[in-house]
Amino acid sequence: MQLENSFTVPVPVDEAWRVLLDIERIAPCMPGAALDSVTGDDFTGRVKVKLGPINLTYQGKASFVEKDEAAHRAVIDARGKDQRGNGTAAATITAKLLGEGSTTRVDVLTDLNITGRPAQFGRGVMTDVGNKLLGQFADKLAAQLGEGDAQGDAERASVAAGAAATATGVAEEVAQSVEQTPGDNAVAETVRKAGTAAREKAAAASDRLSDTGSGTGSDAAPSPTDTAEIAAVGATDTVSIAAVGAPDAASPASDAAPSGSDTAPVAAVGRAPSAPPSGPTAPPRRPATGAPPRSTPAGPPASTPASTPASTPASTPAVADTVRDRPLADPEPIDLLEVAGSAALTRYAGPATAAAAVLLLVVLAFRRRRR
Amino acid sequence: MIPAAFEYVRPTTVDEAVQAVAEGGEDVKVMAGGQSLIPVMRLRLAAPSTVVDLGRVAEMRGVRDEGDVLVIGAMTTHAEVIADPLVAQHARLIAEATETVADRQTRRRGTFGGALAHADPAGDLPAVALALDAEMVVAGPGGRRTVPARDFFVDYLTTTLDEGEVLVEIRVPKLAGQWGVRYEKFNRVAQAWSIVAVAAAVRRENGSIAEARIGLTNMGPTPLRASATEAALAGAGASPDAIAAAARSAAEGTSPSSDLNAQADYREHLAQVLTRRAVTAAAGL
Repeated sequence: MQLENSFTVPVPVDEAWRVLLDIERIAPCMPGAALDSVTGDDFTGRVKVKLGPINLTYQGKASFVEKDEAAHRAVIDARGKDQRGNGTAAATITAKLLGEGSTTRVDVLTDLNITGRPAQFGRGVMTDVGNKLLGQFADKLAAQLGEGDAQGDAERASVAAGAAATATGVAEEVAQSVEQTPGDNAVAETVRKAGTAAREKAAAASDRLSDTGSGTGSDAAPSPTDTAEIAAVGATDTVSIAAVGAPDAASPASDAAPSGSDTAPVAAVGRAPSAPPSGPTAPPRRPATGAPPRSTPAGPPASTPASTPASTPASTPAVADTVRDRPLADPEPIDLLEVAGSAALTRYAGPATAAAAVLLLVVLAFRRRRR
Repeated sequence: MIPAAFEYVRPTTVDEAVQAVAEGGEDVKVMAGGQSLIPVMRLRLAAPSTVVDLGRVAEMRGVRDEGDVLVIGAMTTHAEVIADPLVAQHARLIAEATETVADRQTRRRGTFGGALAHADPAGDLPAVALALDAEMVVAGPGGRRTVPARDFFVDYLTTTLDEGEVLVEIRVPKLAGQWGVRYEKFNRVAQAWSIVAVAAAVRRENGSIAEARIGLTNMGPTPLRASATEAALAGAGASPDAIAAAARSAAEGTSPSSDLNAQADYREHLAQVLTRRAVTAAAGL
């Protein structure tokens, strides 16, 4: 059966792509999912599905079979089986990202195959469960990205304030702080690297500045406006903050700094806001955690931009959850009542027949006697 | 068809029950009548490590009168609800709907509170509790709280009951005035779950309908109120035409699922027809 879902995350498509491919970051957003190991494009994990009294834990492995960065399309193949022997789940999850300005729409197409008893529970239930799980996943992911955004705003504000003092100095400082971004995951590492690069460039810029004899003072004058602008731009995209801010702040002094956009998709990770927004330079705050509007499958996913890495959070488990089905080859739903009914029927058929036979005998005897 | 091994606890008071649930760990399951839990355990779709059986908690059984409110213990069985004179007098809709629940044997063991806490969208009693604006009294480690029915049902088989909480009793406001009630249930096999069902309570005043409350079963992951129809009926004349017109909006705002029993559009059609029948009967026409 096939399930279609889509949701929106509040970051531009390039960043969404990166975040969504970071399986260690998105797995915790999936309700009941846990990663056991990650090796390159292969990962193993568990997904726990709880529905009223029903409790299933699918354990298995998954891997990226396709990662098309240009089209922003990723395909994950996942399979697992229930720990208590309640059958298996297998899924091919195709995710496509479609950039919509500062947000990204994620379209997820899940081809799910569930065997065993859970499959017999009728389609209605499975659809509800799949949609519910994916909805929770999208909310959590958006909230996580939103947090990054809020921290980013504060950071941008501090960058802007600092820029008024000296452009290059700030750039260096910010870059340094980015470099020290705490966190030990891959994302933090990227940010730190970007920070190092930015700091070196900024340092070079200030060297050059002093060579030409222009003091920081006079050059700094234009910088506040520049930075403010940058910060405002930054506000629309969630994550790029600190790193973006750093190189750009450097640029008014000289062009040496690299353009920020690629540097650090996730600078905000784990950083505490350094200062409250100050003065007119502070970018307007966006609501941090608003859940993105979720739309259910609309038409065919737009072919162009997007890709979808993530929705698939999923390792195997996702399978179990994201699943929604369509008619083809659906397993026959099981009706608990029918199960009980047939059991009762077989149980009582014997006695019932016997009772009927006795009744018949009595009636016959009665009639004979009357005659 | 034999369940996995589990620990079994049978407390005798609510406090003991809450404590037993707290001590039961992560995979603890509260059992009321066991009429849904046991089949699922036998299919091994559920394998709780501990089952807390509320069957001996005497204080959770029975119906009592508290002025404007009828208090029904969560462990009161369906059979007891049907036979109870207080329910018959003040909440006849509950008795009428309970009579359609499953079969005699199940009604003997299944409980009112168990049916509500299980929150099966095809179950009959959640929609009735919703239509009557009942309140659920829930006991947990932090004491008791009261949840209105409209907030109690969250999703498919999911309620606001946290892990560690037990539904103790249900407070049903008595209907004051001239109320007529009706539960219309549609299923293909006697004793099966509802494909769609409608619970209606209608208050008549001077020949017209003053107020109507309509609960829908199985028209979404949770029981629903047919608010559009309720609004259309308020103040409407008690005529078949007016009721039929109002009933046409019964499916507004619902999201029924499609399964082997019925497609979503058929369920919407059923909701309209059953609402018309239920309201007509409740209004005494």
